[in-house]
Amino acid sequence: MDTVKNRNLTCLLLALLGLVFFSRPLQAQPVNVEAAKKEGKVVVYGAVPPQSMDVINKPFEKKFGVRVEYWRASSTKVMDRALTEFRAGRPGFDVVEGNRGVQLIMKKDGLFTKYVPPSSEKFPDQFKEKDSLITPWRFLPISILYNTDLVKGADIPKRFEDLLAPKWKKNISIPDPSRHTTTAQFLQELEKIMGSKWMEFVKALAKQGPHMVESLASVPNVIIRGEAHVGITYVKYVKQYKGPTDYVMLDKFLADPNYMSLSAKAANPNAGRLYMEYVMSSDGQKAIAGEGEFVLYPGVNPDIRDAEKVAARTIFMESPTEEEFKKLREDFRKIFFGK
Amino acid sequence: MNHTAVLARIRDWPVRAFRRDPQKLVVLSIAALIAYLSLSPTLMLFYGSFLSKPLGVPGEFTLSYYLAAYSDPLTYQLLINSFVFAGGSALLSTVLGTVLGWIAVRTNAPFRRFFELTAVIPNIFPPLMLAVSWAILLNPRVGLINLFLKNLFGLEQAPLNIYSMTGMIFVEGLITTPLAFLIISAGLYSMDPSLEESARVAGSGNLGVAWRVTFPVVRPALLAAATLNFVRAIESFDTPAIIALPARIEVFTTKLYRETIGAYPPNYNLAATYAVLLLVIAMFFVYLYRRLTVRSERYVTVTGRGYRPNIIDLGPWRYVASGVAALILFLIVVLPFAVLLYTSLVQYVHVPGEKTPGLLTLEHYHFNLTDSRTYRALQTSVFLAVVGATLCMLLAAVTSYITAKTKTAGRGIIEGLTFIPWAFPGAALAIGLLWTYVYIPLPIYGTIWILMIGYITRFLPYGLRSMTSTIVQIHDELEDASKTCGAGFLATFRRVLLPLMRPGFIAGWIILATIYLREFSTSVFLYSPGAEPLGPLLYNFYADGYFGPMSSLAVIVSLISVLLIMAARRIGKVGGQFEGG
Repeated sequence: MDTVKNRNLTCLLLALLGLVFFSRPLQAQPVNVEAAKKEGKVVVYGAVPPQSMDVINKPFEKKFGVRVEYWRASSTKVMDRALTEFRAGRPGFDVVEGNRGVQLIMKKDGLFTKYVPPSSEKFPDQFKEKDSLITPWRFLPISILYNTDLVKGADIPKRFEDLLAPKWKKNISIPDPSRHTTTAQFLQELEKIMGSKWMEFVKALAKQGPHMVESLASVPNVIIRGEAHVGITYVKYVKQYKGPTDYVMLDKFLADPNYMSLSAKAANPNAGRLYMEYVMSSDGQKAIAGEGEFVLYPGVNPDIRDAEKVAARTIFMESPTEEEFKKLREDFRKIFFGK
Repeated sequence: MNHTAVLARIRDWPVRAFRRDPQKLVVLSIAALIAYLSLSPTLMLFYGSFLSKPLGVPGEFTLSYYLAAYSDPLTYQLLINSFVFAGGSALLSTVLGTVLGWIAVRTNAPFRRFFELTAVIPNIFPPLMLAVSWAILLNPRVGLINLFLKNLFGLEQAPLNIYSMTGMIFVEGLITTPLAFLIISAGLYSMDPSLEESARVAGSGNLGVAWRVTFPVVRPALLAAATLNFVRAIESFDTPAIIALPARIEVFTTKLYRETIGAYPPNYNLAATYAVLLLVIAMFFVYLYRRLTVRSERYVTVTGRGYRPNIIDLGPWRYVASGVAALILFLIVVLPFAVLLYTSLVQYVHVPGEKTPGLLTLEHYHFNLTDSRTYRALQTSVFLAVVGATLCMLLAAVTSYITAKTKTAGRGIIEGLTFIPWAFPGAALAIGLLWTYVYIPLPIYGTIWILMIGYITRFLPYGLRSMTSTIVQIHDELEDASKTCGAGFLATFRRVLLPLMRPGFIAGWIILATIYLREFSTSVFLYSPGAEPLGPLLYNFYADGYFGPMSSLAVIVSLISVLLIMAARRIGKVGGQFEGG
């Protein structure tokens, strides 16, 4: 009887030990540089403009002799292509980059394999993913941008609520939240800043008759050419767009995190791992920060005024479910297009 | 007959069938090819529209997408907006294209050859870019034309507002005028002016001749231009995105985009469901077009009696005609091109003023000319434009012969088939192609050939319209004479019909080559890493706010297009051969 009890106890202990061992986040995995070189190329699908990614891709190619084939589209188009190829059993990609929402959908469909680039171990703990299937590598804080030739001194808004003043009527540019996913997500996430009054703000914003455009990337051009004097968009555009713009230092910034993931059926898995590791390394993160991107490597900030303060005040946005998104967009259509 | 002999007869059947009736075999082959091109992506999409999940994911048969799409009253409200938008812009473009075509091709107005060459330039710009140019010119706050008019007349308010339904019709009409011009001018080139001469001898004035003779003869071309531009406007995403959003005007494609392509995650099953409606609309217009041109004998003008078109002497009115053509070209070419040139030469877009000299730069051109990605994109797109347009026009020539000149059963079906993929929004068609070639075990997916197939499939109707409006004017007696002299079908087609179709062929080739050079909505889904065509590159510049590099590349591409057009016209010898008749 005692023997049986002891055996059960041993099994229980072993199971507990196993649980403890296997439930730990996956440790960073070393990269086999020689194997990556033998593979010779890595295919990356991503949403970052190629001219920005060149600051990573070109030095990577030079350093390791591994060619980078980069296919660029919006996050959702990247997801479309990756999912279609994967489901057909013909994935053409080794690494996929995109925002959190699309990465979660692809993860759910089993597109990725676990991989923790060693350099990402240095990222702040709160940004690490427990399942190690997707790795954050940059984030995109949102603020108010304004035309510095047309808006000066006391007129500069200090918080989102200031945009409701009569002087901004028909003078604000935002993406149409009934068609632009990140904007819909951002307006809902304003709850984290404004509490339950967020919806009142959205309705008042709609009454201001904003100049609506297709995406956050279109907003700075409207501001620069003076069609609207202020707008809601990514902070990074003050660096990436030429023209008289600056951003408002807010108490809190909502940000869209972007991730990189390794394909579960990568044709060049070692080159994929090497590429991800290079992107997360100090060199890679500094290079992309030089293009105005906010990154996660400690002490690395973009060349934007008070970027470290922005980073310190940033809250990552949550991704609503598909159903929540659908409902949000329908609500926003009624609010912004209702007669 | 023994077993081997039967097998041999079966094996030799195609050879014997070809020898006996080559025309039938050509018809069958073309029908099979067109059916394959148009039906393979379409059927994939249709199949997807009845599935609850995307292709490749286990799902069940459902009608829920159809119920959701067509039980919503908003669908029909927005469809009315779309009809107003598309009808207005098709009318405007056809009127402008006709006036410009008639002046450039059939009159002795000064500078007519220059007008003809420049009229097609806007066709090479992505429509999105032209819409942005007009927003820069006519927005109510800082629109350059509005500022000019306000200063000139001391006005308080901007007199013009691009962000309205009228603005949308105006912009879309101007964007599609070059297409109307090309189709109509091909029809005008092919007509025999002896009819006009007869009318003139009978006492008609120039306007009377134009109204009673020229207009009815080129009616197939007018209808073709109006039909194509109407359908293009109905399925247009770009003009509504730039002009309608700030105006808060919704059209059918606004809803389609919001619920399908722009949804989270995108829902192509629903996109296919909506596309069915676009398809029905397109098919209705094809039917209407065929009804109105079915008695093509009425328009037959190129006969064996002589083919010497000449030009009309307008006397002193020729200067007025030049003025009208110049005004149209000022609107469709000069103003948008001036905006592009301006944005390509300044660091950022601003109202020109004191600070402009300090912001002038050539850095955007330097960026393009030293960027290896731009060179690769140019190579890819020029290849697709030249080879793709040639293949597509050859296919269009044979197809239009079958549909317009033979009594083959099912020729209407062949023509209808070509319109199917075209009625789908480019993005939805691209997904259909993606689904097709990712599942079909052919070495096409991930190569430049999937783009080629996509381009030919989507834009075949453009080539077809251009060819058909020319071919219906060629009388059967020429073909009959050739056959009587012993020439077979292929020899007759190559030596008699193809040369006579040349104006339509070249006009169609120019339309296609200029579109292929900057095609975006299909390419963006299908291009492979390392083989990015110009369309996605230009669009990505726009989307990323790189206005300067986008504009300078557009200027470079426009120069390449002009070279292509000049080469095509030289090879086709369009223009010179008809003069002086």
